[in-house]
Amino acid sequence: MRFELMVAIRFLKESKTQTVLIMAGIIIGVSVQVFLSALIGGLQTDIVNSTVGDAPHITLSASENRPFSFLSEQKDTQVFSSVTQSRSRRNIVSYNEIINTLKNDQRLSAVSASVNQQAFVTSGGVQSTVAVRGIILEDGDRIFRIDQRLLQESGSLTGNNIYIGVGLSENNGLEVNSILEMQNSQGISSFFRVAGIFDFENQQANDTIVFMNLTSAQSFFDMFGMISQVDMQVPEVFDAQMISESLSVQFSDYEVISWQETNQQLLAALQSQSGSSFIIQFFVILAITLGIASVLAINVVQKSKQIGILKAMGATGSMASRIFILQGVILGFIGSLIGVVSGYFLLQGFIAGTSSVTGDPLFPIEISASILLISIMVATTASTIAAAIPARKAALLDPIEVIRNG
Amino acid sequence: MDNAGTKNETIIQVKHLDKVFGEEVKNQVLFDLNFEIKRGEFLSLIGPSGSGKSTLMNILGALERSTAGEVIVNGKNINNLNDKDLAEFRNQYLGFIFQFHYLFPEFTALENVLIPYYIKDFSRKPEIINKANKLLSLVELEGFENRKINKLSGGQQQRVAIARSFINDPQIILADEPTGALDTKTSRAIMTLMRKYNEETGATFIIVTHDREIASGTQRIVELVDGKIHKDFLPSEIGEATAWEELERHACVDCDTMKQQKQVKKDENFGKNKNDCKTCP
Ligand SMILES: Nc1ncnc2c1ncn2[C@@H]1O[C@H](COP(=O)(O)OP(=O)(O)OP(=O)(O)O)[C@@H](O)[C@H]1O
Ligand SMILES: [Mg+2]
Repeated sequence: MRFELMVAIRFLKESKTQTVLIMAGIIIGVSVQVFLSALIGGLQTDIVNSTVGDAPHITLSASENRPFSFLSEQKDTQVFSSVTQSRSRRNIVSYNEIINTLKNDQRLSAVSASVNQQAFVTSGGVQSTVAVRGIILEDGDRIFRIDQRLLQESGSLTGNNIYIGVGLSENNGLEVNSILEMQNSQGISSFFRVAGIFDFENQQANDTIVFMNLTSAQSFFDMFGMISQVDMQVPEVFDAQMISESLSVQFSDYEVISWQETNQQLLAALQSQSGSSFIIQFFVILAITLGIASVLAINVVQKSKQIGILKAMGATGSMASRIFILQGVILGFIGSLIGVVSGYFLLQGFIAGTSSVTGDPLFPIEISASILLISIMVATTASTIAAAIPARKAALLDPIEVIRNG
Repeated sequence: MDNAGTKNETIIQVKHLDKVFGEEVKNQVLFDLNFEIKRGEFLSLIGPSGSGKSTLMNILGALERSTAGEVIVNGKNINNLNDKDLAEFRNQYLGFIFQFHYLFPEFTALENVLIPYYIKDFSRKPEIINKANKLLSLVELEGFENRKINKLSGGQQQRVAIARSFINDPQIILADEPTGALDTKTSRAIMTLMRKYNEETGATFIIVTHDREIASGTQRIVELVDGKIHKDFLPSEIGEATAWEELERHACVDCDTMKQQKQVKKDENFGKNKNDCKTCP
């Protein structure tokens, strides 16, 4: 330990009220900061997950064909427009090579070939449109997680088996094992067996989507050897844009689109939320910094006698300034340490208070160690900077002023 | 720093020292001072208020720079030292005792004594702690080592300050009215202490005082009047009676001026004794 540290600690102990008040300021500031950033972070993750979690992050198609989320909780009809989008799509021929290349791409966590077509269902004389998705279940599951959403199931997605949403099943009185007649756009009918009923917690998806085996879809829609698009997921949703751009170059004959391109409004909303959270945190840090600076400025005045006498006895200016820098470091470090801990407990309390009866939190709240560490580092750095002005004053203090004026 | 060096060797040499305060309105306080101080001397500096005693002390203590002239301490011209070297010089060569103790209320008596040592070395060796304890018992403060400063009386505080000024074995101790805030009895005790230390270690003492009795107890008396050396004598050489006569004349400052001085305010009895402020003959 250095002498400066000993003096700094004594000074802080001696001015107890000031120390406690500024410490309280730092603790409150930092805990609010931790609480806020975890809350907003969690909220954003929740929004992003519900938007694109169980949907393609990137799609590759021959013509314009946007990835969409039929799981979105928001009644965002724009997002859904693609589900009911009408024909005139070109298809991808000889897709095996593309699929193989993509499946070997380490950046992608899921790759699924799909046929997307509209078909018509007649029930009680009323004709309605459904969106058929022909997939290989094993691949499609990794994107849409259909297996987790099936309420009832009596067989895999093979042959003439189809999975329909709860909405479609209720509207048309269909149950598991019911037979459903569908018509393609050419007016050709075929019969299918309902092998599962899913609930995507989204009305439009539940009312219109029909999953079908890829091969069956190809034959039903007369698309032998063709698919409509390739759906992909990436491990980190926000990397999708970057990966999509690189895939665009790699598959220049096709159109590759990321979820970000189709959800720009959402992204803008997230960004402005992050921005306002950043501004709040900035002002919290600024308030802490100003608080420490003013407390230490007062401290320099209060302790000018001691500083002067230390210098008269041979302390250098840099030694005097270190006493105040160290006070800043101590205040910032201990304050933010306690702040981070109390912020953590605040969050735990919030999670406990807002959890549903099952104990699941309202939405996932992320408390990462790195955020806590960064908070401590930022607050400590800010405090050190705040101490610089008083420290400079201490360094420049002329001992003769103190000795002359008693 | 030990006090090696033979007695009668010059430790401080002042040549043509001038001090002028102010840039536009010049106020010359010290005028062409020339004197020498020998190693181991126990000297008092007297003179009326405003005569420049503190200014001279501060220049000798390297706290203030002179306007012209030279101050040579231990053969080193302190005018030529930079701020860092001056700080080290003060720490190693000088002990300061002021009218007000300037102790750290945040620290105990023992810690206060150690501060000048800690400034240069914070190793907290047992030897140095022992030394500080010894110094505290030297100033008769055994048992008060761990008291906080504000739990000590004024005289006790001043004795802590004296012990502190000794910790680095300074060659020169500069005491500006060390007993100014103390009663006569305590003042005497403090002077005895310093004299004893001077005899034992050979450290050089320069003591500013307004107290004739205190001045009469020193080896050499230098009187400053209006920034010039007015008298410089050794009481042992001129005889006690003459010395007192000289000091009597010094005392003929008027009571009101003396009372105005802050150092006098602490002594409530000042002025009640007619010897405190005689009128000049
Ligand atoms: N920083 C300064 N600026 C201007 N003038 C000063 C300054 N310091 C001291 N003086 C002047 O220098 C003169 C000598 O002051 P000094 O403090 O040395 O006197 P002193 O002999 O110690 O007096 P006292 O017995 O009252 O302590 C005074 O006239 C004082 O006003
Ligand atoms: Mg003075």
